[in-house]
Amino acid sequence: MRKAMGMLVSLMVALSMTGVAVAHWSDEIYVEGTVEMGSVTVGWYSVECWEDDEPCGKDVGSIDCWLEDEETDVHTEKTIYKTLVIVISNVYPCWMGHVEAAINNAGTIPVDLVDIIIDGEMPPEDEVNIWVDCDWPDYPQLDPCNTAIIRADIHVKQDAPECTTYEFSVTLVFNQWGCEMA
Amino acid sequence: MTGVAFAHWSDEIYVEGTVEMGSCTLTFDWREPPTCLEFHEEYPGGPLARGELCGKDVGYTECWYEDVIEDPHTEKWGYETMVVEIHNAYPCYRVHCIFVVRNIGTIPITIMGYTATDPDGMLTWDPDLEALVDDEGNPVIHIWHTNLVGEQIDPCNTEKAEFDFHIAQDAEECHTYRFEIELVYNQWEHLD
Repeated sequence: MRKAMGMLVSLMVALSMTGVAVAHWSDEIYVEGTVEMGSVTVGWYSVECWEDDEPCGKDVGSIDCWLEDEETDVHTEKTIYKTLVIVISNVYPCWMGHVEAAINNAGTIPVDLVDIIIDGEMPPEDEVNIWVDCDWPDYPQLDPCNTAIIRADIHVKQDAPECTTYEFSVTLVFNQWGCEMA
Repeated sequence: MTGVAFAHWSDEIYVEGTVEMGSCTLTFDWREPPTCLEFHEEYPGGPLARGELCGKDVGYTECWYEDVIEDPHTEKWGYETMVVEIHNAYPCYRVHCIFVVRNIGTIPITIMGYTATDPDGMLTWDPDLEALVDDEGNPVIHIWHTNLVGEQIDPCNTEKAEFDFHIAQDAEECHTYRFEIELVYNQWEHLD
C-alpha cells in the first residue's frame, strides 16, 4: 500500500512538472504591410524630321521618321514608344536632314542612361556626318514626367558612295537611377 | 464490537482557495506612434545614409497603429496591429519602421519570434533569407528586425524595436505586395 502511494505521488509530481513546462500563455500582435511598387518606363514621346531646301527647289532626297512599339505605363497611364524609326532615301552629297525627338520618363522612378549600344553598320564620318545634340538638363538622369530632347543633324558628304544603304540601330539603355554604381 | 467500530466523533477543517489569474498582453504603445525612416547605401555594401539616392523623393512610407485592445486586469490599452504602407517602391528601396511595444498585462512576456505571410499567396516567407520570396525562391522583400526576438518585457515596461524592409531586385514593377507579420510572444522564460 505504501509503495503504491509512493508511486502515485511520484506520478503526480512528474505530471505537475510536465504541466509547468508545457502550459503557458501565448499570443500574437501583428504588422500589416503593403508595398506598392513603382515603374520604370522610358520611351520616345515625339519625333519630327525635316530636310534642308534642296538645290533649285527640287525634291530628290527624303527623310521620314515615326514611332513604333507603343507602351503604356500601368501606373501613370502615359504612353510612349519604344522604337524610333528614321528612314533616309535617295540622298546625295550636300544633302542635309534633321531629326528632333523627345525621350520621356513615363514611369514613376527616376532613370539613368547607362549605355548606348549600336548595332549594324554606322556610316563613316567622312561619308555621312551625324552630329548629335541634347537638351537634357540632368544628363544622364531623367526624372519621372521629365523629357529630354535629342537633335541630330545628318549631313551626306562628298565621299559617300552611290547606291549604298546603311542600316543600323541604336539602343539606349536606362536603369533605375543610382544603380550605375553597382 | 460492531457498535464501537461505527460510533465515533467526526469534524472537518477547510482549505478555501482562490486563484486569480494574471494576464499576458503585449501591445503597440499608443504613447509613441511608429516612425518610418528611409535609408540608402552610400555605395554598394557601404554604410547607410538617410533618405533616398541623390536626395530624391521617389518612394514613401506611412505607418500607423490600429485595432485597440484593452487588458481586462490593468484596464490599460494599446494597439494590436501596426500597418505599414510603402508606395512607389523600387529595388534597393529601404525603410526602417521604429515602434514601441508595451506589456500592458500583469505577467512578464518574452518575444519568441515572428513569421511573415502574404495574404494574397504570391510570396512565401524564407526564414534563412529573412525575406518574402517569389515562387522561384528569389527574395522580393527582405524583413529584418532589431531589438525584438528574445527580448523579455516586464509588466508596464516597453521595448523600442524596429523592422527594416528592403525591396530586392526581383520585385516586379507596378505590383502591390501585401504581407502580414505575426509577432509571437509567450509568458516569460519559455524560450523553447
